Amino acid sequence: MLHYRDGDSAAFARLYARHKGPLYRYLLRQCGPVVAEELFQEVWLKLIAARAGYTVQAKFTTWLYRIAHNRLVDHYRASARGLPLSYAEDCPEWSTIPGPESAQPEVCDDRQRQTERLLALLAELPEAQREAVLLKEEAGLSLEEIAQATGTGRETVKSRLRYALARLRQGLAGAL
Amino acid sequence: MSEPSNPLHDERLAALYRAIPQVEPPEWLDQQILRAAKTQVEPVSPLPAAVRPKRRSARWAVPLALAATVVLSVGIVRLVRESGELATAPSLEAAKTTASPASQADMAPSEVSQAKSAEGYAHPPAASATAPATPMASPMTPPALAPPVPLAERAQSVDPKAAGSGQPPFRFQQLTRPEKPEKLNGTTNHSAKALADDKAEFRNSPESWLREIAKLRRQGETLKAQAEGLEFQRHYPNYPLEPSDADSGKP
Repeated sequence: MLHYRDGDSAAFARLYARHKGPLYRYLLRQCGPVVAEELFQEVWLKLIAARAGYTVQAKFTTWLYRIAHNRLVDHYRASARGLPLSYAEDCPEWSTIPGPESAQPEVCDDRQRQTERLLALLAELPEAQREAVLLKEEAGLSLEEIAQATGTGRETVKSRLRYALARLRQGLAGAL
Repeated sequence: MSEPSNPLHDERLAALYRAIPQVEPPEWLDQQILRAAKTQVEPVSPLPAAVRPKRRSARWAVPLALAATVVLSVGIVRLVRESGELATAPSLEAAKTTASPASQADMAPSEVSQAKSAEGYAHPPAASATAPATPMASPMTPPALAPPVPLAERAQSVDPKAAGSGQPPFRFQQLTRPEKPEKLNGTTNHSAKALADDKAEFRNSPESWLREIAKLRRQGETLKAQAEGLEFQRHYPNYPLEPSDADSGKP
């Protein structure tokens, strides 16, 4: 990003090639392909616009997903549903939300069906928990980096991840 | 109760997630973003060579138009001044026809000098006679560069009775110019200029001027001699003249 700031457009191309897939999937699995494309473009354009004033304050990936997270939250707020309850720091539904009804071990009999099942389970997770999983698996961020990117505390991220993994394991029980 | 060593990481779940087909953004989106990034960094590409001169000419168009406007304005102002003087000519002509020939003799020296200065003004407009009769034809002709119309030519066109009226020759010259179109060609102008130069030389001294007048009279060119005589009297009103010389100044 520093090279791109200094006028090297090829550096941006390399940066984009490295991060476009994970970022696109991060957005796609949270809001569908149409909105994901729109948000994906907005995130990159915002990054391009911020080129001149870019300084190294955090890992680039953290900064990129911070932009993406903020844009996603704006999208939620602008929607009729508003910001999902799961983004609250003390979300009460974390421990009370029942596991997916279709979480039957016999369904996951092969690898492809397991991945399809995993995607379905991800889609059924509360938004905040799903985002934490995606940031961990797609972007490869650590707990601290997820906390920075989402603007929440480390412990909150830890709780979201713990509950998300538990639900995924429960849904895939017998298949893993 | 056994718990995984790291409750926040499940390797089997991670491996299953990585097995999901990797969806990528569409190609058009890639191109759009990369183009935006490139545009942000690189300066706007220079215009094609065919377009650049147009911009340059457009940049110079305003100063050029201003300069042309100034030049035209100056020309028009000068033209208006000249035509303003011409506009007063009919009244002067009327005054000229009512004036008696003896008024020249009654003129005070100051009036004579005024007439002389009027003659001085007469030369610039007379120079424009090289152009067609309409004064609009050559508004930009510098008066000093054009040859003055010789006095002898002017005298030929002057009515002998009116010549001694004391009116400035310039007015008369302006009004009588259309009557002599054959004098407007270049050859005539060159010979007239040479003649005028010769006269300018003999006018330097009253003796040579008088000799020239006498020479004209001997050649039978009485009108020219009379005109020169009148001109001589304007220049040297107090010069003692012999009877023969004095006759040349009389109509």
